[in-house]
Amino acid sequence: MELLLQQVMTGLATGSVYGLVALAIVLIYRSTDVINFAQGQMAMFTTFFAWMLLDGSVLGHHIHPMQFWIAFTLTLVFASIMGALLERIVIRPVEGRPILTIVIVTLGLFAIFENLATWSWGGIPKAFPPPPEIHVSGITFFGDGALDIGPTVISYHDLTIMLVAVGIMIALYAFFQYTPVGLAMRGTAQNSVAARLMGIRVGNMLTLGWALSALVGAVGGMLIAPLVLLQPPMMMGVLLYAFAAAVLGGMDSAPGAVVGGLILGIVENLVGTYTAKEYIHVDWFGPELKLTAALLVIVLVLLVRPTGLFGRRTLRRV
Amino acid sequence: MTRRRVIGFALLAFFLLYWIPFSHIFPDWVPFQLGSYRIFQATTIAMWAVVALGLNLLTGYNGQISLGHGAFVAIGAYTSAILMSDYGWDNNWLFCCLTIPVGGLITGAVGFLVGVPALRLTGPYLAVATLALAMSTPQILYKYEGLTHGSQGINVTLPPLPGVVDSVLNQTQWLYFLALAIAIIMAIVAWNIVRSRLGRAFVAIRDSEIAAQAMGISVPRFKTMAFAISAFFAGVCGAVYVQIIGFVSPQSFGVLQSINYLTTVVVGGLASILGSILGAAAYVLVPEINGLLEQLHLPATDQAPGVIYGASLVLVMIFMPYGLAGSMHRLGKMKIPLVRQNLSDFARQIGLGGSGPRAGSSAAAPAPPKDAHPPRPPDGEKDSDSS
Amino acid sequence: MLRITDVHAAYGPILALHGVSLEVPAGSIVTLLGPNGAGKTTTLRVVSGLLHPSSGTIEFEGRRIDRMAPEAIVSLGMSHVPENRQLFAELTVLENLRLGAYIRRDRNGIKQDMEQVFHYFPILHDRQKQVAGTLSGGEQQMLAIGRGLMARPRLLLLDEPSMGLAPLVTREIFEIVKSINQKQKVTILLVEQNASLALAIAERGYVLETGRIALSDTSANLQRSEAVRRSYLGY
Repeated sequence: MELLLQQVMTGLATGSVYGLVALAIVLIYRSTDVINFAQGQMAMFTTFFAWMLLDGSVLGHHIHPMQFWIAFTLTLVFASIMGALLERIVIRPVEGRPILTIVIVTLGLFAIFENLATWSWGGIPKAFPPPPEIHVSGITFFGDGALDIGPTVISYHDLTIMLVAVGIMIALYAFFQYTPVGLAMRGTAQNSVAARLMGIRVGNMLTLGWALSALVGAVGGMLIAPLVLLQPPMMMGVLLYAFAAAVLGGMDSAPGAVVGGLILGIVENLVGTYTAKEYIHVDWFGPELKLTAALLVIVLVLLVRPTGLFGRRTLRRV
Repeated sequence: MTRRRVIGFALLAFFLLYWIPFSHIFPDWVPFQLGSYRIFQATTIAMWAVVALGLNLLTGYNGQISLGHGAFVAIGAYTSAILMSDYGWDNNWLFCCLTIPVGGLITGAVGFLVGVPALRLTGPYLAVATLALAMSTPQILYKYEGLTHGSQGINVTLPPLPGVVDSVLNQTQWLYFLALAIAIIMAIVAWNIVRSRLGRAFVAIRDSEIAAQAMGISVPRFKTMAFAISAFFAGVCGAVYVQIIGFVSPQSFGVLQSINYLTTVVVGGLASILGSILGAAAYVLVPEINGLLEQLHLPATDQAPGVIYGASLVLVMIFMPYGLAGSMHRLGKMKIPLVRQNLSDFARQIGLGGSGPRAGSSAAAPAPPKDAHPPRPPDGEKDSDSS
Repeated sequence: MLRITDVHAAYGPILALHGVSLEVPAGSIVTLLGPNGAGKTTTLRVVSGLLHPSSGTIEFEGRRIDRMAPEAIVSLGMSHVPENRQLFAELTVLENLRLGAYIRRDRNGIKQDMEQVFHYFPILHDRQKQVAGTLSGGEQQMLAIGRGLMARPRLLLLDEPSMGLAPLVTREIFEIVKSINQKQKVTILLVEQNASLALAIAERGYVLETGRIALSDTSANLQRSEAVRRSYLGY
């Protein structure tokens, strides 16, 4: 039982990262109707940027390595600008075109980012430092220790991943729910013609959507980088799980993306643990297939609810 | 047949049947020689064209996005490789060639099975589900190593050429003609499908499932058939791959490969036989850019082809949304250079003159619901219902 | 206030308006009538900037607006309540109204106008937290008009407010439209298929047929005219 709870806890931590990236994907999908297959590589790219600042080697020149949170913030700024520019230059011209066209464009971005990262920073994996310890009123954030919660132990890093993820989700929720710009973005996503008639500059809303999404992705990348080594294919696994999470929760549901991410994190962990040789004695299934198993879960869910757990059923009008 | 067409065909036949396979043995003073490496490239183009044709039938003509065709190619390839190396089918060429239809049929059956659950999914959901399929493929191949030899992969040895052939061709040329023959056969099959009732049903379903249903077309039947046929093509491609490359491993059939198949088809031109072939050609020839870069003294790192490939995907989609084949079609009809017109469109769109996204007619027309419709070849107004 | 001069407009290769000219004096209600497909909605779209005319001019309060984007035109004091309402279906009534005031910065003015809207349409006040897509047809039309009013426009473009609504509700809405014009001095250009209701509240009318103005007169004369009675009023 304790092992189960432990695995669930760890699963929740990785699941929060999947949820974050899934949130970024859903954000773009809801505001611009685009499925951004390059999301993971964009996050990877911005994480490399952060690494560059932290390591002090900016493309061959040496600078003083930065304090973690300064680098973190600068990276967020960089990510937002990058996202905004991408929307303006690459996505805007194909806006309104059929879905496949846009899919290919994002796949092209995927290839560009992956290769550009390898070109700039090399293919050798690098270690990404975790955030430094902070002590706030007796509670330690980040750092190497662990917290005991009942029968389980959760590392500080995992704990803060979850907290940061939740924090971002709350911030986004507040933004969309309570600010005029957030409201305008929601409206634009539903009906861009009406939005224009309200005086909303739809183009700016789209750009903002991409900037936000890149920002969220950047956070996800920096949170998970200490756990996996930083290399160009780093985000591939995360991206695919994030996609699966977004689909599982329903492509147009932000809470769905988060829930989907958590579920997948847990499932992945449980399958990884409980299908090892000591638990089941079949040869044809095992921890190596945990990716397959998680994805089987998705397919099964989609069969029952084709638009995801929380997705809206689209009306079929004749 | 017009005279121009006959000449065109004759030239094409000459190029394909004589120039490519034989020009490398000409004396040096003969112009336009293609080295023997080119024969290999041409062979791979013919091979990839087959899977492109199949995927185009599914996605271009039938509107179902598949990011998972790597799985199907893998099934065909592994079927062929296993038959050849573990069951002795590599003893003579007849059996080797037989692995091709066998691989195709088995893959087709699996494709049908995949097509059934795919009925419930549309658009992004189908894309991600097929992506999931592509992701799982290497894992499954690694896992069941009793059958697949796991991470070692399977090495096949090809039998010696039949006596009759041996005197005229070397193995490279023989494989070229084999691949070419298969590609031509499959292209004819695809051509016939497109022009038949089956093809029309596919297109009807793509454009409006509801209308198709109302016309009496059994949508589930045809959609699963599209998957099956498309998988068959992919399986054939996989089996041919084994003959040509001689080696398969789980890494040959991963996510990136699957994605490449789709981009190949879209860049070449959806819903177009020619497009599939052009796409395959582009896919094989784009890495050549590295050589060009070296000549221009630009950085020609290993990643350059990747970046250029990605950038060309983006540029092609922006400026040639109908793919290479579509643009050729349009250029043939239009007097205005396509590029110039689209550049000014592009400039306007990113805000250098004009405000925001396209103002004007595209905003005035009610926005059609987003769905999996690929752009059609430009011979009619695009007018789509939901699906 | 609004002057359209010899406007031609097309959707791609399809010509919709062939030289339409009309005038809307400040403070009045002018109606644009005509059968389906005549180009009435197109005319409104051209005025509000959703469609650019291929030739001709459009002047609003003396200023040319025919090349401006809709976002800019709204801030000049014109509001377009489109055909089929085009509400933000998943947002609440309140959120729809708030977005109507998106371009405004004066908090108190916005609050006042919202109360005014609730005064005209009390049912919207009762349902303010309800999601717009779940309202009835009549309520949606009220919300659409209310949302248009939230921009405090001097000119309101109304596209077929009666579409799909029961007669009683339609009459109620038209009365409210009339009082909006009278009490708040909002000029109204009303596109309608329901000619009798429209002519009852308008001062002037234009009849559009296949992209051209066929008739233009005071509404009293139109109501009496043989041609209009036969074709549009049914007697």
